[in-house]
Amino acid sequence: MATRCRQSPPQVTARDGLRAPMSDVQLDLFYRRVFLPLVRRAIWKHRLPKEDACDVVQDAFVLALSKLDSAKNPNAWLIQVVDHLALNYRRKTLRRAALVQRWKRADQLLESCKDRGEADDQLVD
Amino acid sequence: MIDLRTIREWGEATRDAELRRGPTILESIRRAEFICTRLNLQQVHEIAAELQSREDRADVLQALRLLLESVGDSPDDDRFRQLCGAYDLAVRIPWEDEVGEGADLRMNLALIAWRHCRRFKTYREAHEWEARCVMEALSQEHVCDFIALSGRARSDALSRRYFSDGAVLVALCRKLQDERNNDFSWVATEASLAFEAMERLELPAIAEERAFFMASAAFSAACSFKYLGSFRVAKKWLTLARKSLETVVGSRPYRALVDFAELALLQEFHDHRAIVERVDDVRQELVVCGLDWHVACADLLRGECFKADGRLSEALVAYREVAECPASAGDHLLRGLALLNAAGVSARLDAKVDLNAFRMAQEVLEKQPAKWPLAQLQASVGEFLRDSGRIGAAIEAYRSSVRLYEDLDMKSKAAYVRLLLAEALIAAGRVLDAGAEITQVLRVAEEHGVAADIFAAVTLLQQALERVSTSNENAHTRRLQLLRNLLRAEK
Repeated sequence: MATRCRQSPPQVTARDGLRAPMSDVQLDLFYRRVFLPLVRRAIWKHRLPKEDACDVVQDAFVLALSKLDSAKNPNAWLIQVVDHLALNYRRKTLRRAALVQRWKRADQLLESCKDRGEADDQLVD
Repeated sequence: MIDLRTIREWGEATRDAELRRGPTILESIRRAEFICTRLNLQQVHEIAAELQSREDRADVLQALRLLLESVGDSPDDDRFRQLCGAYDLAVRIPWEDEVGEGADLRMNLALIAWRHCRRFKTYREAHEWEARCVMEALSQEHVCDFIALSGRARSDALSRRYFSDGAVLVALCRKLQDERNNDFSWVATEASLAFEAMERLELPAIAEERAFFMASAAFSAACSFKYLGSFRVAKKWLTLARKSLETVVGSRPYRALVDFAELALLQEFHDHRAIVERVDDVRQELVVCGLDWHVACADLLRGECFKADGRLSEALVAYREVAECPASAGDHLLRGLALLNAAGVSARLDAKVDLNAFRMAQEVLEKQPAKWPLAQLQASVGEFLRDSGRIGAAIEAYRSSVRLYEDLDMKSKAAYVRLLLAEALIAAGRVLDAGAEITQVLRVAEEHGVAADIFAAVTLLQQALERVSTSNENAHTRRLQLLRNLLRAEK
């Protein structure tokens, strides 16, 4: 894929891509120039796992379907959306992890209470 | 809106495109570690030549940045050299992306280097890395868009996203710094809003860095409020800047800047005795911290003190030294102000001096963007013309100065020049016009509480009255009455 792009580098930009249907080469270029860098941004800047980073970028494109304004710069817009989604994703993950921790502790407490109760019952017996 | 069919094609393309397997995060980190060790042993261009041909170069460089993140927290010189090498490497690698990945990476590497230099190295080195960080940040359109947006127009969600990025704040603080001598009305608002947002959102997350940016914003706010004549507000902001710096590592140069700004503020209160007491110590600290431009500014302040003390020859020497010093060589504002002050003092020392010295200062001052020095120049020219007996021309120069100051919203300065204008009008026998000017001054004094300026102005007016010939008894009585009214209103 990369070799093919280097041999025939048509100068396509994401903005150009909005004006006409893309050829295979253009799609490949788009993939390398827009999609992958955005995925890497989500991975390395926002510390997301690779698969989740791909989901976030994909979601950004889905949002672009309904919200993107051609008057504005699509690249800058996409970066902002990816950052926004990645931060939200991270916040949710952290919150979920904290909740899981709290539930785990509650379960352990419950277990220990149960054990103590059983021991007390045995003592009473 | 854009063509939906094409955007759908985007969606299809990204969904169906088989994600390249590429390296895992761990693999990238391992490769980055290897490059890190090579940065100590090999030339950067050799590593760059090798890395360029690799498919995973972007991932490896991103991992390298992650590995070097801790350099900002450590004084270790070897690690700092590795970081400089990594930045050089990122500069040499071509980036085929359209979303500014390369610029973002270089911006973050420069940010780490700036953080390291700010904490553990000199002000000058920190300043160099700050410039690189700002350059890379502003090469990204979305960062430019954010910085151009007014603080009032930013939602909390948007501010949260950008204020969590130290590099964006470096760029924002730099913009406030660049504009505070020029567009101070804008800076007064924006710096205050930025300070408030950082405090409320507790961003950036690193508390020490947040304190630094808050200090920087507070300092810019103080400078701009000083220009606007709100001296007490400026003093409050300087106190906040000093307080924020308490938790900042390596804050010595920045504390020296706050000390200097306090002295400059004392000048507005005409407290020259306090300035004289402290100026040498503050200047020495600026010298030690390598703040050359501010050292020259301190010399200007010293000249002001000599002038206020009547030591005009010493003041002239001080101004001329500033005009010739290397710090003012490429700085039209500093050089122009030094030339202007030198011209003013020369005129007072030697009545034969003509307007050429002022013209030379004007030529230099017109090369820089700030307009207030030109208002100051008109006021100085007015003083020169008045002292050489050309009262009509002096009145015109004063009026031009008042207009410029008012256009810039510098009400306090405008009020001050109005009093000089009133003095010239009295000398021209136009007592009623002078009274009208003084009434306007008192209105501004009431609105803005610039009592210190008024006291100084009243002193000036007293001096003027002493200078005016007492041959015309009626005129003299009228002037004294005016002064009495002024003092009554001041009470």
